[in-house]
Amino acid sequence: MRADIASGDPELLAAVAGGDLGALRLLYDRHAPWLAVRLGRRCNQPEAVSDVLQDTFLAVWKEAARWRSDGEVAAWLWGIAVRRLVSRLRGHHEALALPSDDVAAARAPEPSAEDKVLLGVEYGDLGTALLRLSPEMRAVVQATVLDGLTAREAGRLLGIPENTVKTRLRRAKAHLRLDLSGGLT
Amino acid sequence: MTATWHADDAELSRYVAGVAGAVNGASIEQHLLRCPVCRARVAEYVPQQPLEVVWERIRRQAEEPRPTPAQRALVRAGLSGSDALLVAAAPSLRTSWLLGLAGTLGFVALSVAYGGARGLAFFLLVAPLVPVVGVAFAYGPDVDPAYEVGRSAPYPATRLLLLRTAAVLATSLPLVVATSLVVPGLDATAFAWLLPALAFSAVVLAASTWCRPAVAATAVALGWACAVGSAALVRDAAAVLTPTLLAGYCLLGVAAVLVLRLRLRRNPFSRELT
Repeated sequence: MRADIASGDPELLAAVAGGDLGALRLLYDRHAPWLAVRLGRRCNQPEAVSDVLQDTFLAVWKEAARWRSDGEVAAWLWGIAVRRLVSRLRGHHEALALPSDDVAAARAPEPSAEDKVLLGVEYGDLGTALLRLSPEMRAVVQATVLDGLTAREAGRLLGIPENTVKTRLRRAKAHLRLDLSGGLT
Repeated sequence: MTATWHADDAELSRYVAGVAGAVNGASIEQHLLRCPVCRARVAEYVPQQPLEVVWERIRRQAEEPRPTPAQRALVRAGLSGSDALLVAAAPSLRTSWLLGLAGTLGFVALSVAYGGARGLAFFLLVAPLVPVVGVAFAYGPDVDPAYEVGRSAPYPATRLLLLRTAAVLATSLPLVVATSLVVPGLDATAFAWLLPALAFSAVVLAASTWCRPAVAATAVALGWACAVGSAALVRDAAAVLTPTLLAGYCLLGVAAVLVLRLRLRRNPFSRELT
């Protein structure tokens, strides 16, 4: 199958899996810009962003066959990219410069389906509620709920223990729930 | 999955500039995952030059040949990437060789099982020569597409030769052993042939310091065929595996290894492998 500029992302991926470098280039043109911007919002080292972008598309080149044709190709790409970012930043947390506090490492349940509810809400009241969260809590919500990382991966990205991620996420959810039910205003 | 809502231009440019704020930024990011239109609009705000640089790096790496399954297995076994490439380039490690080997062995197994004395002679003729041929075709100008590269690269030919020999023996010997085990009525013969096989492989290696490995292997194969053939005509093909002769194979193998070491030490660089 010959992929061209009119092909959809899944067709391009299929062509990439068949070894078509031109299709990879088309995918790159479509997705590299927004991926670069989104990665840049999580990491302030341009060369790290470039490396992650390179790793991501090389992974696509090698693993395109693994794409199970459901959902958005863009979301799949982001899933690869953000995990590459996590492994790239392991041990280089100065790139993120987020303050860590000493929240007691309490046992919290795994992030649940509730997180997905948060995601589904189009940002209305939730937006203002999110803004009222402390930056540390917002970073946790962003990494787990919005970027789709597990608590462990989010901990690596943010340079904090996994349990701290869970605690903060639990607190953030409690805050949001209270806020949205009008408890804080 | 098409969205009816689109981010407005001012919002998008603020997002790309990194000043959209946490909530608007997160909102745009979720939208971008589902909206090709807005993704294309983001691209207009992103400088093209750095992305081109990254693409060049991706293209260069993507165009490098992908490692073959054999190479990946060798890397997992602890070889470095370049060692694995050179070892895996040996013709006697290719799938076609292994398939051919498996076919030959299947034929041998059938003939031993149903061919009686003649089948046994056939087994004795073929089994010890399998590793010999494998070793002969592991290195050398006749067979190796990477030979010229290998000769011009600063890579010790000895190391390559020994690595490939080890790889060939590791892949072909188990196949032959497995065959001899599934064939009924071989008893001690099922393992005794290993001695001449290893001795002849060593002889081919030693001889390859003088002549082409293929020539040495041909000579060894002819000699062995004469021995097995005459033994089969006179009495019984198994006569080539009498205890005295087995001891002789051991001596031959040891002698060949000693000669090889001597030759390689005297002339440690690649000239010794013609």
